[in-house]
Amino acid sequence: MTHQNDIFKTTGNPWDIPSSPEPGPEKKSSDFFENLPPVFKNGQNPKSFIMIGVALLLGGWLLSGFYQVNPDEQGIVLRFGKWTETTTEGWRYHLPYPIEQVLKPKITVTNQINIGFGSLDESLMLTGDRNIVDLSFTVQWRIQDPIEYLFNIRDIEKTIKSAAESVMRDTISQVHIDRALAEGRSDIERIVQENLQTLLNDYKAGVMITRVSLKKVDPPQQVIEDFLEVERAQSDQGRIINQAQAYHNEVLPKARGEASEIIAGARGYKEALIAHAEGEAKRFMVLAQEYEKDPKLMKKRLSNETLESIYKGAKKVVVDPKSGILPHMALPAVTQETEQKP
Amino acid sequence: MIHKRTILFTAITGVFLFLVSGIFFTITPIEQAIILQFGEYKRTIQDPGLHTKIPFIETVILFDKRVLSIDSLPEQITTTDKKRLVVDTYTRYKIVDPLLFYKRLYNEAQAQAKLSSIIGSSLKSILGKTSFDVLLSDRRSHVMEQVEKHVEESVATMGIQIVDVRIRRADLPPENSEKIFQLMRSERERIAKDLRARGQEKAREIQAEADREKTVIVAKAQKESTIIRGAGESKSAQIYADAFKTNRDFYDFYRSMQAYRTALSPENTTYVLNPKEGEFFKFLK
Repeated sequence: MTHQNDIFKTTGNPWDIPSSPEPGPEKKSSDFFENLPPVFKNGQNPKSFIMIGVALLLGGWLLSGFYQVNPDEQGIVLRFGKWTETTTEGWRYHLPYPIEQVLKPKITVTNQINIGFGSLDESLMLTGDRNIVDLSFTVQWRIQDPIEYLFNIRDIEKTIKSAAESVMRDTISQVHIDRALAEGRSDIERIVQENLQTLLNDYKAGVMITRVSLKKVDPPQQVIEDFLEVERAQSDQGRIINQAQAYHNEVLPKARGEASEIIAGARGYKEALIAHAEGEAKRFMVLAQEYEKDPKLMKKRLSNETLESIYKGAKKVVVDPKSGILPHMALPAVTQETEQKP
Repeated sequence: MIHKRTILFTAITGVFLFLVSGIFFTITPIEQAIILQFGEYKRTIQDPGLHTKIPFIETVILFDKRVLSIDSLPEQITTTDKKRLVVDTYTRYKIVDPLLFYKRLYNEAQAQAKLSSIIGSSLKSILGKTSFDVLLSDRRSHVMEQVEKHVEESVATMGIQIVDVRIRRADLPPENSEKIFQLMRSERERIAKDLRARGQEKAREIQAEADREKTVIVAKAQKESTIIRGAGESKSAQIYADAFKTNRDFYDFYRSMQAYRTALSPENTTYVLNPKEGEFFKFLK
């Protein structure tokens, strides 16, 4: 019993073997046949007919060795299964099948693997602080070494996917959830890319990881509300601090204004006091000069003026003690006071 | 005649091709083979290229030469700290000795089954000695290495080489998720409360500081104001003194007059006056 590898059957595998020789030469053969000299055409000579047939088949077989390598490909030529050369873009020739065959992996194409987009099993991951995070990411890769890529690993896409998932889970299991959700994302991407590359190099996979990018990093659906609450608390914190800052910004200029007011008031008071003193002093000096001229007159004048100003606005009761109407005194101030009492 | 010849020619070609295909065979870079002669092992071929055998007598058995993989099904494992975990691994291996492989495991399907059970028991025995915390730390890779080593020892005589055993997932079983979610919720609540409390604290601090600065500013202003007022008062006193000391006699009289005027202020006072007395009324008699 033989263990035939399934590699030749898989669709999309680089081992594309042309199942039939290229049709080109066969098509031409009809023209070629018609242009033959009549001696060949009469059908009387079956031997030459067979010879022509054999020659045609042989020619077609030899021509089937031509192949085209596109700019995004490399041609890996195998002779009896063993690698003989690697060719670059253009028209090339190899000895026809089954002596040689060519594989043409696309070396410039970037492939993408998506992880965590389907089932929750794949997207929920444990973090280092025993939280769960809902995560999806993509891995982009391309062929770096076509020979390693073709010959070293079976089912390479699945290998990359498994390795990527393992590395991602390994990385996430060492990270705090808040870091994974926020500022740690680019670090995680970088670490996963590096470790995945190291792992695939160990496998000699011939693959280069060009990019690992986290698409979704969320708290699980069941607790998302609580995470939003934290965000709200964060903005509340900011708001309340801003309000306090605003209060600060309002109170201090006011206080400084009040301070200037107080000082200005004091200055005003001082100046007024001095001005008043100077005025009073001046007046005193002038009156003193008058007084020196005739002290008696001056005294009289001033005392009368004083009494005048005192009596002018005040309530007065003028009583002659000799007339004997003394005893009853309804003094206005006293009356007022008693009336006010309930 | 002609027909017979044609038939003969075709037959010879056919036999020739049949023999050629029986003698020659190719080994691609992804293959390796053992040659058996009536079931008896003859040789191993691992170089790619064109090879020969004795037709009908020797048979070729092909094996894959690439790195092969096994994705094992999730297994329930209990760690030292009595946590039940669902662990899911994948393994890379290579057939390095096709004869041993053929003898011990026969083919890939059987190898797969055998390896899966070896990996499962290795996992159980290594993780059974590991705590959950270790799996959630940078020592996880060390655990994986141990598992790999354990598997390697078990498969030493099977003609295969273990390239890598890795834990893909090590999760708590789904029925434990709710517990984790509870913990996550309470942690978030704590963080939210903490954030708000810190906000309050900070805000109060800022307000108190503002109030303090305000008080200081006003107090300083009042101090300065008192000094200014004092200066004003002393200056005015000086002015008065300078003026009054020129004529002390008149100052006495003048000051008294002023005092009467202020002290006996017209409001709220009722004067009872005797017109017969005093200078003021003398012309009213």
